[in-house]
Amino acid sequence: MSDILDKINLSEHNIQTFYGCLFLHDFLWFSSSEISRISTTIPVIHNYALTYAINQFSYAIYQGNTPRYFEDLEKFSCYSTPARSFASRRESIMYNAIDDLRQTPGRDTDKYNSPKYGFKTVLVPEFASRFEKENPIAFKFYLFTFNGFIPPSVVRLGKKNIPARIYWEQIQSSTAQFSPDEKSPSHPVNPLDVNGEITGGIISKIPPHSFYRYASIKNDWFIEQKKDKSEKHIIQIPKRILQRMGLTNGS
Amino acid sequence: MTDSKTKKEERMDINTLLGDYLVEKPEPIIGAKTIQIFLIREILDYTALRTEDTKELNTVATPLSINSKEQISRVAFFASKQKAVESRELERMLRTAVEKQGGIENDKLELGDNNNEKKVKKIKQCYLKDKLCMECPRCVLYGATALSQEANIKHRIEYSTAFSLLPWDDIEETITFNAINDKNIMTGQALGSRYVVKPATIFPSIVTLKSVSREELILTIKTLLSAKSYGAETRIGGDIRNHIVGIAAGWEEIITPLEFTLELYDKKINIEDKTSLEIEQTVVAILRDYLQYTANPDKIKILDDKKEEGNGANTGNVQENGGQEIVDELKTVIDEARNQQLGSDFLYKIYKDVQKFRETQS
Ligand SMILES: [Zn+2]
Repeated sequence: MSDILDKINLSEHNIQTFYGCLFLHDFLWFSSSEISRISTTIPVIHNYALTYAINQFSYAIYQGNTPRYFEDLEKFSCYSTPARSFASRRESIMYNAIDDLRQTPGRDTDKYNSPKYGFKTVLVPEFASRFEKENPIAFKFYLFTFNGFIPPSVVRLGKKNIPARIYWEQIQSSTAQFSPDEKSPSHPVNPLDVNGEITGGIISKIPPHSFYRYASIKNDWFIEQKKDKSEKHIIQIPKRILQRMGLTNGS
Repeated sequence: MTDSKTKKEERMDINTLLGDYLVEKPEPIIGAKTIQIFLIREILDYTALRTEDTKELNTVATPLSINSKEQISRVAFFASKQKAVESRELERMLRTAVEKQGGIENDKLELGDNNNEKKVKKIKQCYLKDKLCMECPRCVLYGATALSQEANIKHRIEYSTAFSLLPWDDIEETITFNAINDKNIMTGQALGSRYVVKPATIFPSIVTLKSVSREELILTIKTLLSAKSYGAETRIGGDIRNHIVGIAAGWEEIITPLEFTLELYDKKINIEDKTSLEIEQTVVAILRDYLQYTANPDKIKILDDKKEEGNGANTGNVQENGGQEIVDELKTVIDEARNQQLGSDFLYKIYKDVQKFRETQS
């Protein structure tokens, strides 16, 4: 291995990169922020949630609510970036409300025996054909797959495991390049995936921890590939992937 | 022994058709083995499918069909409303079957398993939502959250919102009624309105099973065929009949319910003027078309009609057709499920499976 390594070929390590455009085919509710009885969902999907979904892995029986992210992610056949949508539509719906006969919920006199209710903001289902996958409604992200794993196109997301369709496109370039200069990836960034330095961005709060909807990063690894027109895929290589290839820093 | 087995003797059944996508018994990790059951939920009576606050029907904007971008509104039949009814139906079916073979409801599961007696003797009461027993096949398939120290069970049956085949304005009806009948709850209001979908409305729908056993597949099919009453206000409507129009298995799901509805609309599916075989063939054609998106197309089995030479199969699902026999694989599976008796042997196996499954928790 050279001392000043500034290029790595992912395919030599049996890693492929895919660009995914995901469409929700049912109402999605992530409890991305919950204040009092109002719960909202922001149009971002955490990369751990996506990775579990694409791996089609879950425990049929489990103790407590503590996920075993780090154990599980080690075993998976792929790893994803977070996803974001620029235009997904939201709707506020009431849940867990009242019995059939009552017209309005939450009357004061019913304080003690009325069922709990609340509003939640959900993302609504959207359909687009594969020819319209660049639609701004799409949740766009990148996926790294290992040892020839081909990702499924229908996955289940969120608390209620709602179905979603993903149109995939393989990224032909598999060469990642070290960049000492600032770059803005064309996907949201989980800070735990950053090997270099985050120099700026916009943070979104979503369990299990916050991530950057937009970020500027320097001293890190990126794959760049021309998209259509003037657009470009700029993919930051997650730390986990660098570790897999036996690399953790830029020199 | 297998060598001497001729094709003629190979009886087509759930195990030969779908065995590769079934597990022997519920396992602690849910894997990729997937079975999609395609349904047409046919509304037989005025049915309220609505959110609780407005009393209006739930609607959602979708394209008119798979090939038309025109946006229209469709009525949404929420996953939770389908699941609640079917989960209860399965619980009722199991309880009745256990009672019928002499078992009783008690406070703990008890299996009689001497050599001469294999029987479910006692089952725990299991009620939605706050009294799930966590030791019956319903809890293990539909999932249950523990209230105490016990481990949680994750569901292996997936539901999704079903979208009406036709646009909202073709199927909606507003019924105005005199509120006086509803006693004092609505005093002060002379009239009320109910927003309902009309009889004959169709909701294409999919129920997906993950890593299930043959017995769980059978219970699911029985449940889908016997569940009849959905939606709000079931005492004055909500009758639905579920038609199973396709089954596909694989290491992934092939199509979503939204796509299924948009495809069927495009193919002008109409259950009144098509035979069930024609509908099944339409579904098969749609699914074939979606194989192009799948990750493992060679691992997908779509139940279809099989043409066979001579006097091959020996199930009841054979039609003579000019020297050829057509075996309806879908009907074979549905009939096997339908004809499966929920007797002592079957119940013992499924409750024993649950017991073993629960022992795997740690
Ligand atoms: Zn139970």
